[in-house]
Amino acid sequence: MKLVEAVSDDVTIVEAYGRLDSTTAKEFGERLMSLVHSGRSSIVLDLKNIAYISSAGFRALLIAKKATAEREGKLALCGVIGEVKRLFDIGAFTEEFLICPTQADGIGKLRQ
Amino acid sequence: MDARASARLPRSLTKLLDPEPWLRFLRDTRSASKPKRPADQVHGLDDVPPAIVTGLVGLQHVSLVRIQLIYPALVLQMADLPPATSVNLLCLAMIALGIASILQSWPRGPVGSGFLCPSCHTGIFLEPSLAAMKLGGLPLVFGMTIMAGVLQTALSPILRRIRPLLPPEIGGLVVFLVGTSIAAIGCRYLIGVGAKDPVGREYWFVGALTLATTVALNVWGKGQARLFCALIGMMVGSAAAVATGVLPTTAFHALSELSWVAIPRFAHNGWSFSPAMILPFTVATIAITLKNIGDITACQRINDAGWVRADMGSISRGTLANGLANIFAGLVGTLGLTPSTASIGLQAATSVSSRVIGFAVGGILLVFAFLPSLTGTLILMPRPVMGAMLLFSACFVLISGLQTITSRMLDARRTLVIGLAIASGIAAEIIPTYAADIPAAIEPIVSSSIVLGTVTALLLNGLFLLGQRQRVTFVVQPEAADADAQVEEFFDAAGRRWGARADVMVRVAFGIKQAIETIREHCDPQGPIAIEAQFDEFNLDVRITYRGAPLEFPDQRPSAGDIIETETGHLRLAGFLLRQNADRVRTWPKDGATVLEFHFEH
Repeated sequence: MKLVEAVSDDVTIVEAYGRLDSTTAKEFGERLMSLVHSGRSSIVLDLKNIAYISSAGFRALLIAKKATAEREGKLALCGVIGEVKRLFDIGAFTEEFLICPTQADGIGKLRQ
Repeated sequence: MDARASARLPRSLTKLLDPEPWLRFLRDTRSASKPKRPADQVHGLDDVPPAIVTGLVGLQHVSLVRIQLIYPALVLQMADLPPATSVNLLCLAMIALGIASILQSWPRGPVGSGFLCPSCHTGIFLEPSLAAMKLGGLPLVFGMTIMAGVLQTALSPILRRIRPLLPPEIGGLVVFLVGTSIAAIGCRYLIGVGAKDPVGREYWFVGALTLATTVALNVWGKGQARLFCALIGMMVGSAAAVATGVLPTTAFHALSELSWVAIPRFAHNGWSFSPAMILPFTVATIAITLKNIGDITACQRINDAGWVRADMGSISRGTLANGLANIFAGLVGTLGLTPSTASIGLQAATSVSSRVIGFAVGGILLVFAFLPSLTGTLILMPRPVMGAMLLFSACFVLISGLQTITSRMLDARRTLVIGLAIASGIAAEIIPTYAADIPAAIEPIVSSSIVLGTVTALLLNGLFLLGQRQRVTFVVQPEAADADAQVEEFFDAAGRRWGARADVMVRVAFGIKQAIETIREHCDPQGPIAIEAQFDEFNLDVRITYRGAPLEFPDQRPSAGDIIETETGHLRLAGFLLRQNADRVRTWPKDGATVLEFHFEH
């Protein structure tokens, strides 16, 4: 898995590439936690390049969401499309997360 | 034939002759599932449009259906009958078309697809009918048409059973070939190939104006203009044809000899049958049955935004309606009929698919049958206008066929079946002389692009079915770093071999990868995991056998807190996803191992 980070003022944008499953969830979770612990708790996570997400991936996302909330920040997701969107739907996760169509929408929501 | 095959043959024959499918078919009630209405539909299947809209849209369809009267007209030309007799037979053809259109739209009972699906004559029956004409005259043409109708009627209740021999991509192929055939006729008419007299700029102007008007109204038109784009295009083109002399005023003189009102006479020289014609008419019947499947599938897609799979109920009822219509067509004295693919293309173009219009089309055709002079005016439609109309409809037919073909995963075998069939069909279309020296018995098969393409696809499909396994197995080590890649590769190859739907195979691959991950992380597996998958056209079952703790499949997702805080919560989330992903899931212990079974509807 590859994570590409960019900063837009107070919001950190993370683009994830590859798969989000039990073999990558630990590395993914640790990277997001380190961002939160360094004070960057407003995160837009772009999933458009994620080809596959399993239950371990969803768990990592829930942990990241909880961690940002504990630091009075927020996690927004964007690029939830195709097969990943289907899995969010069948897992009843679309209401669980703040999901935006694009990175710009996500940044806007976090700044409200 | 080996011993096992010898034993299978009587069993297969017994199954085919079993009356139960027929009895079940006659008891069958219509599907209760509610289709999802497309957002851009103007008048949906169950809508009742205003009377004026119904009448005018009905006339558009009648105009398209009428163009295909060229096929019986060609056979009648060969019979060299007096004009009054020919017009009478065309009026009888209109009666058959009217009855067939009403039967197809019928929404209750075992007969009729229930869609707006007007019938028309077809080029598929042209070559066999011309051959029958040469051999035994019109009685043989009509007699063999009855045989084709009986055969199609008999096929209708067992379509589901013989589906592996008639896979959806071949149905899509037949629709595509019909589209190329309509487009080819349209192009010939549009540019004047085969016209009695040399054509000039005026002729091409009329064709171009008709096409441009219809296309412009369809693409940029709004409301009524888009709805009646074909009718307006035909009227503009016909007016231009009169103005430019492409349609000479002398052509109208022939109409003066026809009565305004006359009852068609059910009088022809009877019916005859010939064993020599059984093969070409059987092949043509299989081709129109495949086309029927493709046409009714296209109707289902037009009327259901959430369409995922063909509903065999309406397909079987529509096939029965077409079979009965063909028996009737042979009895009254015309060529075989089929749903009008061009009309279905018009539905897609105008977003008007109310079945009430199907009844209106039937009614208009029946009225025309009693008005020979009005039927005669239809015959006056200028050739370039006909060409433009056929080309316009062919665009939607071609794309509908391609969409059905590409909705399936295709491996090398299926790619070759479709590719070689298209190549042979196009060869028959563009090199008609290649069949000049072949035996007369198979000429009707190789002379028609649709029939030749269909026969090529059916033979290759049958050949490739030999030795093709519908059950596949493989073993994966749960700790293997590339276990997910192995699963993806395995199911991609299996899906292509089976010609499975791509969206179903994506669900299957997710389910198996999620199951292996869960077994590896939570079930302490001992040894490898065995995976077995079995496919038929309607079901895909995957069975996973492993030695380890069983999984549970809750019907409620655990809370976010449970998933984060506890291993049980995470495990239950995995089970919930697996349950939601498949259509059915179950697990049971077997010989010290645990078996998981996922069922996917296909």
